[in-house]
Amino acid sequence: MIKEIKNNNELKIKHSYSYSIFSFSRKIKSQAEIMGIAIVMVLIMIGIVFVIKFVVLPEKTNTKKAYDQTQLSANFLSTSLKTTTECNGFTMTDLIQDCAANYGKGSYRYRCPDGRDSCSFLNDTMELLLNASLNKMPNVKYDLYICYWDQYNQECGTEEGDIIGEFKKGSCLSGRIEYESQQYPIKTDVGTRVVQMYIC
Amino acid sequence: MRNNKAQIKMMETISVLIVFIIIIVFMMIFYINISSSSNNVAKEDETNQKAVELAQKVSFLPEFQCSSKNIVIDNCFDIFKLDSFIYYVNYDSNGQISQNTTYYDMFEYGRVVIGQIYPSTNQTWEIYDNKPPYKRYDEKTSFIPIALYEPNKKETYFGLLNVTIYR
Repeated sequence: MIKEIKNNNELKIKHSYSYSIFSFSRKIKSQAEIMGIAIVMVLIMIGIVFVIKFVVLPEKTNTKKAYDQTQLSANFLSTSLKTTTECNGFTMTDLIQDCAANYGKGSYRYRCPDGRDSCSFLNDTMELLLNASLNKMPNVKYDLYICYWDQYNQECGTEEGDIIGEFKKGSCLSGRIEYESQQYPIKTDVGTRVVQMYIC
Repeated sequence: MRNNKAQIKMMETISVLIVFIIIIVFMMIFYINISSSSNNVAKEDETNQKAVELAQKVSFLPEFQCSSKNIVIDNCFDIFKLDSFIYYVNYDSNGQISQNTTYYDMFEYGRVVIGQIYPSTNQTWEIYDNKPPYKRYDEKTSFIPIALYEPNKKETYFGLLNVTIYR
């Protein structure tokens, strides 16, 4: 009888001990889980902040960079257009005027000593100037058009003969890239043509 | 059995701590990389700005500018003036080779070279070169398209103004 009571008491003690251990460990486990979730949340928040900063938000407009690009494109265009070419001493502007007036007709007023017409000489020389200058600058991309300017759509015309020269390095017009633009109008016999440069 | 369980729990805690420390170390490396790269960008921006400043100073020097009937032509360098300038900075009044330091205060540490690109020749004019006295320095070169005017033939050539900044 005494033995039975003893056993019962031992059982009770054992039960209460295991219950308290169980509840204690459950408490700690739940706290640890909450801590874990909190850490994961913090990490996710940090990740989201980085993603927003570097991917979603557009790059800040750098005034100095914009100034450099404007300066570069303005200098390139003003210089190249007044350059005297090896085609009978015509300037690039002269060649643009002749090319625009006679594009597609095959009767160019200016023929160069090497037999090329004004359009092909213009395009080859412009390519040469770009290769020697802007194409050597690794961080510079551009789109350069010599074309009839559609005032309504604010872009080069899309009909045949509207674009007489097109030069690209990368592309500034595709995507969300910020670019600077520069335009030089040139008076020709068939209306005004523009040399339009987008630089980025 | 209880001993083993405790050991397993400890192992768990330690492994969680290790993973946490690894994550923190990665984040620190990432932050340090980003901050150092932004420092480099700021430093490069400053050098670029110096290069643009120097290019502007050179472009507006009356020593080189083209003019017609006393009207200055923008972004244009007179080839005759460039030739005379080269002679002036490299020779003294007796025709002996000398180093002229007149422009050191204005241009500081840098190099300015003008090259003719089209029609293609190997013609270049080194109008200024002043390297810093210290051994280790960075250099940054900017290119600016310019017009070179030949007054004799009344022709304009395409050139590049190369401005190098030493820092």
